[in-house]
Amino acid sequence: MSESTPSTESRSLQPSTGARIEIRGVRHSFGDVLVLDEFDLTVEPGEFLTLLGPSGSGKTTLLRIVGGLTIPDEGSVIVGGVDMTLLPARERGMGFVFQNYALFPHMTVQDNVAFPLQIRGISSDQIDRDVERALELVNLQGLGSRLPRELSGGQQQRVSLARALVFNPTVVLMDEPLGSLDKRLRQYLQNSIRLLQKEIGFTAVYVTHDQEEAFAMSDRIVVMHGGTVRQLGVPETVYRSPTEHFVADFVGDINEIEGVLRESGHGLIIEIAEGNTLVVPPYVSRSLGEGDRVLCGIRPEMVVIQEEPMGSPRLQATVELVSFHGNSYRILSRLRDGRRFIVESSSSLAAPAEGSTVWLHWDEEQTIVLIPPDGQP
Amino acid sequence: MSRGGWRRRTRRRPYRDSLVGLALLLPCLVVVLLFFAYPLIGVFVRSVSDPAPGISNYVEIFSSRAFRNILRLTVEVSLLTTVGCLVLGFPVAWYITTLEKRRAQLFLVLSTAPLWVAILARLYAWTVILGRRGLINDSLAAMGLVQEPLDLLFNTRAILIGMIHVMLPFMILVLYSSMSGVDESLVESADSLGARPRQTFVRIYLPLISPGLIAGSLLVLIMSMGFFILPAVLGGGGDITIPIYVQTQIRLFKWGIASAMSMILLIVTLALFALLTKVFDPKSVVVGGSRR
Ligand SMILES: Nc1ncnc2c1ncn2[C@@H]1O[C@H](COP(=O)(O)OP(=O)(O)OP(=O)(O)O)[C@@H](O)[C@H]1O
Ligand SMILES: [Mg+2]
Repeated sequence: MSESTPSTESRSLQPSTGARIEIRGVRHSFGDVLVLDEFDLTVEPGEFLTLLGPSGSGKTTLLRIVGGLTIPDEGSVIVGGVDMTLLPARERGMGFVFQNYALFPHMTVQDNVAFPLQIRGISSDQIDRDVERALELVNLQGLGSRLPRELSGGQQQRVSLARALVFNPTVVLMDEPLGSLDKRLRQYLQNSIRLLQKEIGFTAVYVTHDQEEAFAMSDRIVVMHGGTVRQLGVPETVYRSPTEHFVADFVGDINEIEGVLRESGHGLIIEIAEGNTLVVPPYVSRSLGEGDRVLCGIRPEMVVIQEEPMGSPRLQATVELVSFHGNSYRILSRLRDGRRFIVESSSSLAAPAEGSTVWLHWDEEQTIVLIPPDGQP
Repeated sequence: MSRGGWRRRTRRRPYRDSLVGLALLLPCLVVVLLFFAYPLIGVFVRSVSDPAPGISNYVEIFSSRAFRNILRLTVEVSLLTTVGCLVLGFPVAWYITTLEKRRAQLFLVLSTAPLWVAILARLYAWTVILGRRGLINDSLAAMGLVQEPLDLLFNTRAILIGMIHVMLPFMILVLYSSMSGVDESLVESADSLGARPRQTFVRIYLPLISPGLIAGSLLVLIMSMGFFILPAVLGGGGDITIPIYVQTQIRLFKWGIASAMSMILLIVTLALFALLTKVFDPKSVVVGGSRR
């Protein structure tokens, strides 16, 4: 299989305008377990939206509710202006890509992809043409006569994608479609899916628990935890300005330092270890005052390592471990107060020696300031 | 990947692995050769040598009209039993797959409970139910629905009822095991692609469970073909199937005829087996991608 950039020259499936999906007050439980709680979300037409969250956060359940495979206890799902809450999946006309591909094992690739068209009573000439185009679209031309078990995981995944797209749905739902593939193939298919989505224009709701995948593919990301939306925003915002500790921690590595608000001559500042002070972002100063505690987060790649102190904020640290990761070094260091601090620096720069004492600097504007819940530092 | 590793290992030590395989098979092989192949050959030899060498036994059997009736009855009853078990067993097995695990287990145990009762006890129970002064006739008479008691026992229908009753648990077990192996997401997938329940059933569900349908049918068919005790009891001697005929001949010390008849039963059974497996080729079907 070619691992190059997928071709999208062939204008294959008809461009469709995606439908708007409105999820209103959806609540669902399995037995005693409340899985989704008062869930509200609007997906714009043609948007690629990703549900990101840890295992058990209710992503699959929400996707199944949108797709009509699960009926929610409460709330409604409105697609393209039509209330579809009680409509069975087969009447919703959405493409659903299952995590385990769910290809029909007794049918060839051709028959699998043709299935939704045959169901719709389309003429066999037309079916042949559409299937061929769909297979072309996912770069699987010529494999139509194989059985699913004769394909690699990545190929099976693309068949299931082709099958979900072949009938021109206005909404495509994907549940961790790349979960079990290796990294290279994942990246290749991430690009394929995204390019296809942009070309065809369907509304995509994508589930993953891999934050890098979510960042790479999405227009917007919904971070879910415990059945509720924790943050909704474009990838950059979610990464750089997480609104709570859970999100900050879930979407990437982060170094945490406690800070206390202090009144200085010209307004509030944050005081952290080693006499450093940081500016207070507006959303913090509005709700807190002198003496309140905050949590300051610093992403590993924001930090610059220097042998001598230069400017502020700065922290002194001892390098404990340096590991090489191709395009970067990850440097595990220990601050003077004994806390661990992770730094990621480009591998084009020299790495510090293990055991050496260094200074860590970062741009104070980029510090992520989180208001911890009561009682927690 | 792990599969590749396994293949590599088997390739490295083919000789040793085949020895291990042989050792594992040996006990079973001995039993089969000793108690199956050897007597089978004995039966065949007898069928062409007793009372005189030659194929006279087969000629006698095939020239008799009675035999043709016996053969037809045997095949007919067996096929009808198979169909009956399929029709009755299918919904039961399917229903059990919809239950949650604990209840499913209970239902499976219940539906196979008849297997714990000795077969003779069950057959005589049927004679009590179906007899001229049995449960059904008495009830019908008491309700004034019939004047004369109906002939329910000692006929082909009675045999059929009994056969289905005895074979049904096997069918349910086999069907259940293949139905419970169907990946739910395949059905949901068909649903999300727009298929109506009937289309999903015919195009997805049936093909997926067809190995179970075939296995269950073959099991019931083959067991029915060779069933002696049941037709003997419920048929009341009027309906003669091949096993009953064989037994009668043995009682008359006509070992040659009995042996020839047994060989014919074996061949007919094998022929039906071949036919069924051919018609519904199980290799064309995969369950959950597990078959390679
Ligand atoms: N059919 C079910 N019956 C009972 N509980 C269920 C069922 N499906 C999901 N749950 C429970 O609901 C919660 C959310 O499940 P869900 O599958 O939506 O999570 P998820 O975010 O998709 O997780 P993952 O990343 O592991 O797929 C979990 O606690 C799970 O145990
Ligand atoms: Mg899930």
